[in-house]
Amino acid sequence: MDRMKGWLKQLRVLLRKDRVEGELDEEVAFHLRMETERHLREGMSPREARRAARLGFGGVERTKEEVRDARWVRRVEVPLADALYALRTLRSRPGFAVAAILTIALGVGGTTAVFSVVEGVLLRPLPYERPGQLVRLYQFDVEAPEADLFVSAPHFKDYRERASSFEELAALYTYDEVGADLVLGDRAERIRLLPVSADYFRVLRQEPILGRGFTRAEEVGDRLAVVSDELWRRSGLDRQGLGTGMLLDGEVFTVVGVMPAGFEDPLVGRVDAWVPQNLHTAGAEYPGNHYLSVIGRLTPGVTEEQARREMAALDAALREKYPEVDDNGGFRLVPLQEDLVAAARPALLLVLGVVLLVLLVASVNLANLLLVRSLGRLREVAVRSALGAERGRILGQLLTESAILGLAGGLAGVAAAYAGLEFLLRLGRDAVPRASEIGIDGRIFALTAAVALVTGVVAGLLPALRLARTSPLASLGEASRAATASRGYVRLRRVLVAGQVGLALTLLVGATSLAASVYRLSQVDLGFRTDGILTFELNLPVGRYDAERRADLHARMPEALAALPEVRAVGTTSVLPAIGTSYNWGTWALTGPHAGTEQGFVEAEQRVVGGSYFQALGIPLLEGRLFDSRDAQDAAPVAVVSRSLAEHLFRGGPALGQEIQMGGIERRIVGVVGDVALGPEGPPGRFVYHPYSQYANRNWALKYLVAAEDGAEALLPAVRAVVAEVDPQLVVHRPGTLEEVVQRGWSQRRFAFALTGVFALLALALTAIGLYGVLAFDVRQRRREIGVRLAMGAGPARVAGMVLRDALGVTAAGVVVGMVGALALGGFLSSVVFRTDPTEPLVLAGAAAALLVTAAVASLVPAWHALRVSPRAALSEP
Amino acid sequence: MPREQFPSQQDVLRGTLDLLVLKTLALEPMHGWGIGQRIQQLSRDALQVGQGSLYPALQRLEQRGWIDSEWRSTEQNRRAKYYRLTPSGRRALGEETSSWRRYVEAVEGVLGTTGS
Repeated sequence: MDRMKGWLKQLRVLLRKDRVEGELDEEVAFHLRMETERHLREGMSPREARRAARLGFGGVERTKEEVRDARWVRRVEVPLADALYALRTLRSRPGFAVAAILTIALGVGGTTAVFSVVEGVLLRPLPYERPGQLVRLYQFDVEAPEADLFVSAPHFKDYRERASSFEELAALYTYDEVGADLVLGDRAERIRLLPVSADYFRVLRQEPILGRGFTRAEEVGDRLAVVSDELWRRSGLDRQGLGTGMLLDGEVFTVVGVMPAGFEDPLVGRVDAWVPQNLHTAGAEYPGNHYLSVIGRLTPGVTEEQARREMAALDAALREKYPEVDDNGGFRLVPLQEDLVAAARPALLLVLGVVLLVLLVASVNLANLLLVRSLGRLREVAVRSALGAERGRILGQLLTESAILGLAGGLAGVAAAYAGLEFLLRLGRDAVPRASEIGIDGRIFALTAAVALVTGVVAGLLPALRLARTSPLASLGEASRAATASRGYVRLRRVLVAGQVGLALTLLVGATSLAASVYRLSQVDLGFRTDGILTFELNLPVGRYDAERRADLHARMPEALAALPEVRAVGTTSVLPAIGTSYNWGTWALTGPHAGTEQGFVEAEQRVVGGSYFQALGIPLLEGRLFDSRDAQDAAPVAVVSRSLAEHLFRGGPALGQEIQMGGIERRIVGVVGDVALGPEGPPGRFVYHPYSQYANRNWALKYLVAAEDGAEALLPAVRAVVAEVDPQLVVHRPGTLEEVVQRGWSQRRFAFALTGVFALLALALTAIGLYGVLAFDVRQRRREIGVRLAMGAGPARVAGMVLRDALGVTAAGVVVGMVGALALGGFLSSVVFRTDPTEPLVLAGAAAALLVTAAVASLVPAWHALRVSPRAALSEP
Repeated sequence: MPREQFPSQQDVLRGTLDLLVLKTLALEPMHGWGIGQRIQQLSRDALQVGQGSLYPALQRLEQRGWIDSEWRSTEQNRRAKYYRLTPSGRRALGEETSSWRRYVEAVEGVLGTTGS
């Protein structure tokens, strides 16, 4: 306790330095006086006494120094003084300090955020045991071997039986989003279901922590469920315990297991409940029916190569076993991690490249700022050196300033990193897989901070070290002006700024290309309207709705909704438009010129529609008629096809009245409608539309499309009210506008664009700062010259023009260099852009122009300063 | 007797001075000059403490918390910095004294048995 008090007392030295020193002086003076008096008593004269006292004491200063050295604060004093001094000087130049701190924060923070995302998605292993052994299996057709297909049930079962390269194989039904309405008390809620085969939990090495998984015997669609920890608690099932029943879609499922908290399926993500997949239905017996996702775990010791060899042999055997499926190419194996991230890889790598560029720009900026600063202080350093300060201390003082900037920048960088990550995850919500696993990686932060630190130290010390070699006298004299403006440094700084310009140009080109892509995507004619349409999904629980009641509801509901005043038309469909391929079945022409031949076959998208689907979406009727009340359940089966399908199957000839067959159903064509895009990028798909009234026996959830005169969102409450009136237990699932749905298809591109755009702007800002710094310094250096010119009658335009030319000169050089970079980037971007050539002259010219304008803006303030130079003051400077 | 590590030459000198200062202050609080005088007195002029060592020693001891200081008036009504022993200083005095005695014993042991 006493020790701490004694220790703390030393702080007075820091806080009240003068008082403490004064006391020391007083103590010494007292001692001397007492000695003097003692000598006086001994009989010496006053003068002798004083002299004796002084001699007896020894070196007064030395003693004082020893006392000071005995203090522990001694070691802290010097750095502390340096730090305080540094803070004072930084405060006197706030622009520089802010620019430096911002540069560091943005560079370090931005890079850390992006690297964290890339690491989380691409590099980090999956959160399952021995993830390197997990694989995904696809089937493929001999006709189209690159396309990955789902797996058929018979093939899966055979593989499970025979393939020894895999310890376990599991099948998941991820083809359609499977959900169910869970009734909790008086509320119904839609939850996410995932049907899986028995070995699923063993493949992922994660059995339920409570209860058990499924057995093979239960793969007949038994009403069992394994629930997620979150659902277990949320629904209050935990209070009832295992073995309790859950009401899903009107049927009772027995809960037999609970998964640990945080467990997610690798393919689907968050799942509320797992149910046994029925591998023995009629559809499951047909080997040409592809709908299962298969994951597996390699047997320990078996390499992918070995597995593939076994698979090739197996595939040959299976082709013999199932001769009716003649286009079966076999199976393909993909490591699971690879499978999940492959789609996101190009965009993420692009982002990574962009961020590295920005880091480079930021580092260059920092270097420039510090270089200019150090050069400006060379004179001060020379003076100190001449006054006898050790080289070490001078360098120490300079370093302290850089260190303080670095610290402040680093702290700001941490904040920037978290904010940046938040921003990225929000932006890339749909584009970035495994988002839940992403967090700030401390190592990355340390790495980028180290980069910034090294840059700062080098840039800050370079001129000072150089100076240390020259004699202080020379630097103080006339030569100092020349030294600071030394050719070498001026050129170095100009090169640095030109480099920044080049980098910024590259980024701008990238951002513009992506912007053009996104714009062009949005302009693609999809063949239907997207504005003003609200969509939602209605699932009818099997327990309460049979085929008749289903048909009835899906006929009444559109009418009820259409009765709302703002509603223009209401349609229903099994699958929303332009979101990709779904229910792609082989379709044969039974009549017509190509019937029975190869040309009479096409793979077509099947859609079940009801209500005024075509009117709601604005799809034009080209021939024949749309569905109406004639097409009842027991009437002749009809279909409406899209123009491209009609053309393919009945080339040239009429399509109306022809018969087609798909999925075992025969239908007669009664109408031809306009083409509709298959995915958000535009090329039309071939569609066969079935009327819901003739399809009600299959319980497909229908998506509702409510077309409104004005904004769609505002309709939602009214829609909910109508649905509740018809059946209060129905859940209005996933409401949103059609625009949002379609735009989700561009999510990756939009993500890349937004990101690049932000970083390009950042680079532009940093470049402007860099240019400004260089120009401001130059103006100060050339004060005399400017003064002379002004004195000789040069107009303000001439002087301002001087500065501007300077700026444009550096920028132009940078632009030329940047063009090379932009062309290189163009090659890399081509996989991400859409109908845009990244090296389009327009884009390049636009980016160059933007930079030149930036240069002009950056030169405004220095030019103004130049004009303010008073000729007399400038000329009379030493 | 347990093996003890004795401090270095410089530390011994410093340590000895510290011990002397502590002992002096154990009798009564005193200012720096007075401490030097008292030590000289008590050692019958054998030990004369240079102020070059005294004041740094006082600084060290204060930092360690073994002594405390305050400014007071002397009998001649002058301002002087008076030092006094703290509780932990009193404990330290005891420990340092025993430590010193052990040291002396050890040295005596050697001197007593070898040579002339």
